[in-house]
Amino acid sequence: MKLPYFEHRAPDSLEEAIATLAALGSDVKLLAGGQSLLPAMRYRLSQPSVLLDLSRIEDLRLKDDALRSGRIDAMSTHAQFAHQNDPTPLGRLMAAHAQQIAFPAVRTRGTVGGSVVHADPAGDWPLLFLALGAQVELSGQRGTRRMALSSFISGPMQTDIALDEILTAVLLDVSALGLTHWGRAKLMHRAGEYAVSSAVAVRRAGGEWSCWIGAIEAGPAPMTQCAELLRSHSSLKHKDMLACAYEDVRAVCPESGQAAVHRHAVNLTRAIAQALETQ
Amino acid sequence: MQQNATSPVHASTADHHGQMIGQRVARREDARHLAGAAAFIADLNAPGCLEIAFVRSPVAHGILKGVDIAPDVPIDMVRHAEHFAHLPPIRANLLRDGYNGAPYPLLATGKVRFVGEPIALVMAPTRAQAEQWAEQIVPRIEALPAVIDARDEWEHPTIPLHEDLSSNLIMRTQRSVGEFDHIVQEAGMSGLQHVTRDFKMARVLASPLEGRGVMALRDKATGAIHLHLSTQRPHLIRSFVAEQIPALRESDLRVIVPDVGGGFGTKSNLYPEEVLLTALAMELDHPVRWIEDRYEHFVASNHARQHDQRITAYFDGDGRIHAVDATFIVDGGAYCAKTSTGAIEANMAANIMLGPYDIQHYRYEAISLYTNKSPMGPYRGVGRPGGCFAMERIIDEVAHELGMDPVETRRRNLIPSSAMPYVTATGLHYDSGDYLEAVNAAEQRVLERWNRDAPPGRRAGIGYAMLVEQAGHGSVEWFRRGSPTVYGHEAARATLNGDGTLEIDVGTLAHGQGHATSYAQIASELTTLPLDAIRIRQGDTAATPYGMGTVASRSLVMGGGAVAQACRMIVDKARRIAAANLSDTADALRLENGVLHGAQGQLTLAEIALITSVQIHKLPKDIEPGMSVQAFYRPSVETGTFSYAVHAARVEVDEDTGFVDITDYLVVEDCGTVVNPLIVDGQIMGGVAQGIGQALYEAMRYNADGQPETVTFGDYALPSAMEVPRIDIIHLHTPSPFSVFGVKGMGEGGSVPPPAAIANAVRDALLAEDIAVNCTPITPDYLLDQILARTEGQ
Repeated sequence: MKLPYFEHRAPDSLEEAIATLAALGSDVKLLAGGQSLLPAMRYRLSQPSVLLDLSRIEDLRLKDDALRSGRIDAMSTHAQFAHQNDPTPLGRLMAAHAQQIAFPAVRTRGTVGGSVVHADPAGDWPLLFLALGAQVELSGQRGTRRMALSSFISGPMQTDIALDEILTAVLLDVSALGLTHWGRAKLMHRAGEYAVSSAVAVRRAGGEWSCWIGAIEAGPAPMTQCAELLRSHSSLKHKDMLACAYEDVRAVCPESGQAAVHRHAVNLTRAIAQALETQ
Repeated sequence: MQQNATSPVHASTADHHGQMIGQRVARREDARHLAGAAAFIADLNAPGCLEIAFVRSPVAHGILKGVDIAPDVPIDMVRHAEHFAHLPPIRANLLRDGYNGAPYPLLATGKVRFVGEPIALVMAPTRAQAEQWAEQIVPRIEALPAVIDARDEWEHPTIPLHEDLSSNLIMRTQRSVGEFDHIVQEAGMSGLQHVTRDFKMARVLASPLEGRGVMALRDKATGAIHLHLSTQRPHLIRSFVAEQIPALRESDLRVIVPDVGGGFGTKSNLYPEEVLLTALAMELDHPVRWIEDRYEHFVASNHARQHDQRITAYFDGDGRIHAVDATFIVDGGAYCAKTSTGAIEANMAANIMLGPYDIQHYRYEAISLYTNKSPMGPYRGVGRPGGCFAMERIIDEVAHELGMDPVETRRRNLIPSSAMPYVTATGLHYDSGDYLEAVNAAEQRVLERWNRDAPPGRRAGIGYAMLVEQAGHGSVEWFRRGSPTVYGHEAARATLNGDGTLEIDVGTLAHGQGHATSYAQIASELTTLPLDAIRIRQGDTAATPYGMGTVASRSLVMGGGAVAQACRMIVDKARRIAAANLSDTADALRLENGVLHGAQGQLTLAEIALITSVQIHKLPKDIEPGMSVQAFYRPSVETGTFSYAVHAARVEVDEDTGFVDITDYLVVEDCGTVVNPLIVDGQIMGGVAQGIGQALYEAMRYNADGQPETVTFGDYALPSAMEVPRIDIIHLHTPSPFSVFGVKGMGEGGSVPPPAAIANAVRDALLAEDIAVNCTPITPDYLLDQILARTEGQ
């Protein structure tokens, strides 16, 4: 389980990284924390000949005003969000979310961009940013483009990123920056594990609700009926919320067993209940 | 008498005053480990060392047709089975009728029988290079159907995995004891009820922090082979390796054991890698080393404990159990590992099942089978976790059938202290114990501190489990089991130096047990020398007397007995020398702080050591020079010591997720005289953590083709510090009449009852819905599926 042989390149600038990527193409894997990639390489599930390490690129690191500008640079670490104490609802949501990602060692190295591009169905950042309606920014020699995260993630562990592109930032709009209500619930069989069930519920600045669950086979999915129910009713009975959650969950994981469906539905209602409490 | 935990004392400040036994002395070996300054096999430096990687079978069962080697792999760095054709396979023997042993090849020939079985090895200057070459060696295997379920195989036998055997049965033993048949026949007439449950325990493995490791080289100065090994039994492994290699004599092989990062039994068997590297060191001019990585530990180290049980208890309306019927089917894996096998796992479980209960009518069947999985070996408890789960779960079922309190049901079945010493239905000789006192102490603590209140959506439950821990057993027990290696003694050599330091060489092998501290406490107690003047040495066959290593909860009884005996011999000799020099009688001298005081004068132990070495003119002619003695301790009663414990767990079950939280855990434990309570508490806590793993998380899972699906800690879940609650420990002290100071072995016990105690607590929490808790690990889905089915039915 030693790492296979590879060449390690760690450019100082984004331009250099983009040029290297363009020159080497499919031989390269981007190293953005490596908390999933390096174990996969040890198990020989991935054998890139070059690792292009993004950790020395100043431009890709977290900026102080990220939660006001809405620009979250790709190499921001989980730990940076876990440790920040921004008092806004978004700041508190990001902190609570980051604090439950794996363990301190993983949080210190793992990055937001790495997590989003990895697109693990149980990943923490894809779920949260989908619920926040985020966009991603992708840069390559052909230029820079932006697209909705919901389009970018095309399936479990699959994204729309091109071979010559680097995900440089996740972008939040004003409705996410000004969110008023948030709730999240993550079920882990053991502390620090990948979620068995994960749910996020937020009410954005415009009053729109967004409810998502993760840790299902196909990847994070919107719970649209729950969002609609929350929009249209000012007071809700737990029983009705649960029934609605059941319908939403069943629709996105029709193959799952009863226990899994129940757990997702209950977990989603816990996230929603928390969101309703944080008035 | 009860004694609660207090804070540790430090070795430097602990004044012995003849009272070192029972002190909470902080472990002397910890500083080295905490500073990262310890030395494991991987830390050893050997110039020119070649690192080894193994080519292992990717297929569970198949015909091995050969291997394809890529052209850039240097062929002279590769070794196949043919290269070692002069070496026999490993054969584990059991001197019992009906035992069908199957030889364990060093490297696979003809067939492969489990994923991970070694096929070839590659040497390279670095492990990364060796792995890269190993990847380019591809075995050609024609796959055969895999045997993966032991009960299926027992009920519907398929083709034998081993050509020279007629079936996949390793061993089947059955016995009916007392008037079992009569009681069962008459059960209806005598108004006995019965309850039957099928229990399953998943396959688990030890997962020590440090995997196995081997480094072998020829020592140029002596010509001997030095085998540096992460093992629990240096002397026995030396004998076994020498047996495997015809050209190697024991005197030409030295086994040296540096720090060992945990073993829990998994490092006590003989493994192919150990023999192969020794053979390589004999033929090469280079040291060779193999460090087991975590993937290899998952597939190539022994697994443990996979049980499929059917248990029936026959009981009366008062909760008194009259007879027990038990069938244990153990999944033994592909080969019989030397020396502990699947057969031993099944036999042990059947043998110890009755535990603290006075049940004399018993029928059992212990069955072990070959499957296409990693061979079964020992892991902290060997058979006991399975036997304990069977008994402690079924007694709760008896209580539930009667609507009785499970604690009361236990009380009604306990062996009374007045019956000690007591011979069980299976012939175990319990030495001492007051089981009722332990049950009462546990119940009292639980009633004082715990309740069954839980927040909405959660359900609380409390469960108990008891254990009688056979430990420190001598030759009678090992012979009875049919072990070809009959353990029965330990040796210690004590040497008193002219500067007043005492060196003690032992044949046991601490790998986390703290012998450097607890043995020194025994030596200090008897010699009155301070702890820092006492050095304990182990783990070198050239420097320590032949011993059995550290397994089977025996070291403090046997090794401690030998240390005590050697120290007494040193003190006796010192007294005789001092008496002659001080014109006093030996018995009249008073030993205090390392000084013998007489009526006329005094001599320090250091001065007496000098008399025996370089002041010989002061040594009476009838006393042999030298101050080094070797003691061989063999207990007068050889059936073992019997510690016992009551574990209690409080759990909360989330009704909506099926998740179980252990909120509280209590251990009431009696291991006789405690030498170091801090170490004993540590052993208990570590054991309970492992037991929690088996109860709720750990399972080595295979798919239908025999592919292991859990080969990372991401998939094979161990409990972390977040899942292990604070463990409350109450010590009782009933000294063994058969050991030095009345100590009893206790190293394994902590890990044995937790699966049963936790399962009983979960059952208690969900009793209203009659949710079954008949397997480990108790997964959220197992519970939630049942809860939802009950809700739907309503």
